Amino acid sequence: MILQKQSMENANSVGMPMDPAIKLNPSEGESEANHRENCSKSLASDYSQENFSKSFPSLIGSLMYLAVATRPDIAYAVYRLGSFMSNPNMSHWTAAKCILHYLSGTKDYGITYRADKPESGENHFKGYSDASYANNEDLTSVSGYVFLMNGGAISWGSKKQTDVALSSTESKDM
Amino acid sequence: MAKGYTQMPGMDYTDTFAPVVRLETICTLLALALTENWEIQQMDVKGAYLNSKIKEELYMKQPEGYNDGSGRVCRLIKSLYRLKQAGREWNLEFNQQLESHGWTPSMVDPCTYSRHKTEGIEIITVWVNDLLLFASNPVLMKNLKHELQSTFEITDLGEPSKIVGIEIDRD
Repeated sequence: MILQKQSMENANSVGMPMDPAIKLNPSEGESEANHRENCSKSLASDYSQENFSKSFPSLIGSLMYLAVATRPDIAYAVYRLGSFMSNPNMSHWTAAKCILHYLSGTKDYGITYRADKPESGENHFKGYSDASYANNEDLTSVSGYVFLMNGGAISWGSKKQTDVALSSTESKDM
Repeated sequence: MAKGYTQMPGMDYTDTFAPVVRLETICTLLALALTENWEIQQMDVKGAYLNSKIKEELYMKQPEGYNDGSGRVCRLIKSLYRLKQAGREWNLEFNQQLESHGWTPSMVDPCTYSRHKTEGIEIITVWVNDLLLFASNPVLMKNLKHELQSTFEITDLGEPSKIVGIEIDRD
């Protein structure tokens, strides 16, 4: 559905939803107008200038629902773009398209819960969490977590930390 | 449908919020139902919002097609769609019905109800009028459905295939 809306049903697939080393910066004052202009020029003709700032939040909104519902694998990429909703530039648009390319190759991904219990006979819970260090423009870090029950994900998230961590140890502790 | 946009806050309604089941709860219950070999069924309450009584004193013009020309107005006893408080009142009504039938809402997710019997356990999750039913054996599930059908006008959707836009498939 989301892919259809962007006319990308048959888009080439990519291996990752986002380049982990990507630098995403907020659009700024003067350059912002240029960015907008470049964007609308280089995008397909059906995207006018205003259209661009409207369709970006709508696309991210759709992707967020997917990330919340059944696709923890795109959570990080989507939440990172989420902070540029109100003022997107070309780099954000490109990154969003990259997620769509990734999705087009992984349409059948979902979460599978299994009936076989672990040998102990008890349900098995596992939780993972980690955090990056100062990879955002404002030097904040990003936390991520996932909880599994018998190997199936039941809860997950990716969130920009609210304070600036002074070390990677502190970042993982936030 | 009522013209909810003409309602005045404080006069015609107060709170309008209502909880829905957490997605994590649904995921956890689906995972649990598999290892415990529980039955899972889905039901949908018809005209859910029409079930609840209204606390406020509300009047509306006679609806088109049902106007007797007398110029009199209708006093609303029960809720209508588009009333500001409709969603909240439905949730309160449903909660009250379940509690009177021996169900207990979860401490961590108020839209998840459970009931323990000697024959096993039953769980209901509520997303507005969309219910997921879990029961530890088929007889329990059958009785549970009968019970709900005698309390509400309700559609039996069988094995769940879709809940809040998420497709479910059990093999």
